[in-house]
Amino acid sequence: MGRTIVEVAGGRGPRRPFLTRGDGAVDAGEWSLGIVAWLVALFILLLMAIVVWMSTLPGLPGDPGFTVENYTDVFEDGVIFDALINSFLIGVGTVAVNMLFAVPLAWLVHRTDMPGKPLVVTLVAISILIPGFLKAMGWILVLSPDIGLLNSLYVELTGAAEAPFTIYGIGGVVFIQGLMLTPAMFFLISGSMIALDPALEEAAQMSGASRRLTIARVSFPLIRPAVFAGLIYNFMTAVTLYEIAALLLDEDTAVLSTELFLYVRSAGGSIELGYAAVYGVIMMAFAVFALWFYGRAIRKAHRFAVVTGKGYRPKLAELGRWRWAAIGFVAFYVALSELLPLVMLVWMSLLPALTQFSVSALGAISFATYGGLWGQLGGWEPLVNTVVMITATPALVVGFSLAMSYVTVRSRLPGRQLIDTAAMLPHVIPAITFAFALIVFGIALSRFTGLQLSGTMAMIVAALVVYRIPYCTRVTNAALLQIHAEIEEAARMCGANTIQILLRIVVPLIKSSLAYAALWIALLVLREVTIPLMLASPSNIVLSVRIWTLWETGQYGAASALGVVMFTVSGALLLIVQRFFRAQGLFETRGN
Amino acid sequence: MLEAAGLHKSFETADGRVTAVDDVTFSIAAGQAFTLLGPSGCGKTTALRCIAGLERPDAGVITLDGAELFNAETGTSVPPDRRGIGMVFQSYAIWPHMNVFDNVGFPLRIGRRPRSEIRDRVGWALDMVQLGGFAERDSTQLSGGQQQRLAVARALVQEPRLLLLDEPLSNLDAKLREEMRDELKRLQAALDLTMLYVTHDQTEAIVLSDRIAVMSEGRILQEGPPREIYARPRSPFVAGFVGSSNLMEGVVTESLGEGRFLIETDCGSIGATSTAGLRRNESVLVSLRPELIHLTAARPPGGADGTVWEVTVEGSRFFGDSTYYDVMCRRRPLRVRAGPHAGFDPGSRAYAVIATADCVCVPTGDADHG
Repeated sequence: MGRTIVEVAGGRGPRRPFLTRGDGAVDAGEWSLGIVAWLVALFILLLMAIVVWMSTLPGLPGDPGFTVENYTDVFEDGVIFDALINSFLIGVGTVAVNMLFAVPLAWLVHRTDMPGKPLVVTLVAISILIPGFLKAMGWILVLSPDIGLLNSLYVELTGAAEAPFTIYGIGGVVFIQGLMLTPAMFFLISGSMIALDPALEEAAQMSGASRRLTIARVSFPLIRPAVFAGLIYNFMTAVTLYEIAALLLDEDTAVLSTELFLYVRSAGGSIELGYAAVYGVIMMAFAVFALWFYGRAIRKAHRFAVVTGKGYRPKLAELGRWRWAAIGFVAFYVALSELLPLVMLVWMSLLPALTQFSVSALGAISFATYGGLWGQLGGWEPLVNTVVMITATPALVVGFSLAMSYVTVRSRLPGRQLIDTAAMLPHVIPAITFAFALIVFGIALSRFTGLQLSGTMAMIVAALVVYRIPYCTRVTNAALLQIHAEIEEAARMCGANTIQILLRIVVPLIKSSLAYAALWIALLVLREVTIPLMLASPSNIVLSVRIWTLWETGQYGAASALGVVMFTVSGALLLIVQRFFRAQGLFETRGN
Repeated sequence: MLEAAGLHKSFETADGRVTAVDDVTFSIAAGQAFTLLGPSGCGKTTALRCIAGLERPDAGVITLDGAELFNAETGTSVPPDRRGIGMVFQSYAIWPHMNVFDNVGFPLRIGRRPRSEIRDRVGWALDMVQLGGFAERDSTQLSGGQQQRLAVARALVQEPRLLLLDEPLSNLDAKLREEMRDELKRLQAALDLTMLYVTHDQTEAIVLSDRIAVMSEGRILQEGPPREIYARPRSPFVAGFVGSSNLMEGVVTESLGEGRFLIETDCGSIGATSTAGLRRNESVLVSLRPELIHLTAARPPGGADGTVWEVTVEGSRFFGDSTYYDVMCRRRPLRVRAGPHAGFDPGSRAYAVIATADCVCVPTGDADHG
């Protein structure tokens, strides 16, 4: 992504980009920022290299030898072809569902006179915060052939022998992931919908084009690059996502992510790190290839986003009597994506243990599950772990991002371009691949240095930090670019060194951006399950992993109750974010 | 006090390497106000930033009070925060998250001065720039002129050995600019400040400075007191950039003694002075300041100390405090600046009187014509 450099106008002589500092002396503080940025960048590259390295090892990291057998074995086994096809189908299906919801939603919010738009944006944002696995669990409670409410209703009413609906299978994965990734798509295309200058549309209409023709020939082509970029981005995510596939697919339906997981954490069999690495390499290669397309699409989208600078008021389409249809559409999405899964979880959590999930059980609801929840949770430890996770991760991400952005945006230190590129890489690398890389890293570390980090919170935090750096460096880059270089130079002329400038001038000036990013990261990390699950050991269980294991062992009531607790915590955090940043254009950032 | 010798600085740009500062040498005595004057892009700001330490020169030596701040040969480079130099930036660079007091007190806090001293010195600095009573004000609530004063107070509060000002008045409107210019002059004299000032505005430079260095394309073309720069430009660029000038090509026909020569131009023969000796038949440029040409309706008596040319008035523009006339002298246009009173109608005949001392021969250098 290019960065904007505003230049001093006028004159024939050399122009100095005034947002970049001069090349005066580099002090110790600036060097130490550079070293931090370099180390983080190298760690990211190391993690990627580790996956490739692992795929060529015959045994464990540290054992001698080089082999291509991992590759030949995986391809001879043949499961990989099923996995590729299934993952591809899931990817295509997911983005189709995304388009179905996100494009109309974005259009309604940004280009029509639909009432209650801020509420709609908030509701879409809340959808980000409901973890995908909780959505899937909610829907399982509706559509599972065994315990699904809809099925038992049907059986009760008709006396049929067999349940007619099922959420299990590729169709179910597509449906849930489609709902889950719709907000990401919504926020990705919102930018170009807002930036689309209505003068362009008006010009088309003045040229005699009808409304329909204008949309087809002018409006849509202008937002197409952004939609395309969103499609690629979500496709990459959908293909590699683990949690939904793990919940909804049986053992015979292989996808890339579940295969990788099974090779690393198979219940009974041996651990096959080499085979897992092959899957990791395939997913990374896939991602890098897609990134290339994504980069092209984004560049095109930026070129089309005509920022005129004059404050125009977008002309809004009048919905008239279609208003109710629009509201109905939004309500439909909210019901499918948030309301129904949540209601189901709440209901499930209120049912006494071992009660058949049915209409007749409505009268039996009680808070008994919540009473026994402390025992189910496993005491203080998961709570402490979760708190560590959602505080340490944002703090480290913001600190590292600040150092990386300062070096890339402000300094003249060597290797700035590499740091910026490394900061973007985790954007496309699947979460499960990062978790896997850290597992291998942990084993290698203990075998080479004796340092035992596998199974600790440090591993989970490290993976999550790396995973969130692309998001946060975009925020810090933008924030730093808004500070005129002379603001810092003035402090330097007053005798302040780089660290003093950073702490007393820069951080106070961008503190709201930093706090906003930190709170968002805390929220996004709280709902993360794939990474902590992959890296889980008995001593580093967090809330999401506890919910997951409860569900896996059939304790649906307890899992639902903890899910409700988790959502409540997220909601409270979200309220804080909203209160805190009401004035600052809430939810202009995106998560996935 | 400050010595800069052989400064050189080039930048890597999209179009290749561009030289911004090319062998710049100057020195400033203690208590002196020194100005780098030139059009935008001439390298004056880059030179200033080299002195500040914000840019690293490719070559040259900078010393302050005998101590080396920078030496490209030995690799010495004192970081900007240790140079003890105050600076006022073009954008003022007021920190919006601090109030007036904290902005001014920042250098002292960084220097870990005692609280009472900070209070006293900030009070003194704010009084100096007439912002006493504004200490608790939010810095974003200040007007442009007040922000300017605040920036000056912040630069003064640590009693710097040298004060750098980078086009400090360019963001103010005309009236305020004049006011602040005079106030800076007063401050400089009252505090006996050593000051390096950068501007593209010749009036500012002339009013404020003890010495001026005129820069173009990275080089210093001429350096001297304002009066000398104005009265004795040594290149066509300086003649054109400092004030305005009618530049005419001519040939020396006769030496009149005492540095005075008779020059034959398109408008006829004219008496001019030159600091350098000139030979007969040598080509020269003569510079005639519009304000030093006097128009009269009746032919005045000619004399050894002046030249009289007959001209036709083509048009006039009234500026309030003056009137500019475009006149024709033997089919060569001249600009003349006269008083505000109405005088000559277009088409009328007049006589241009030029004192020999006011007409200056300018060596024809390689430099471009201004």
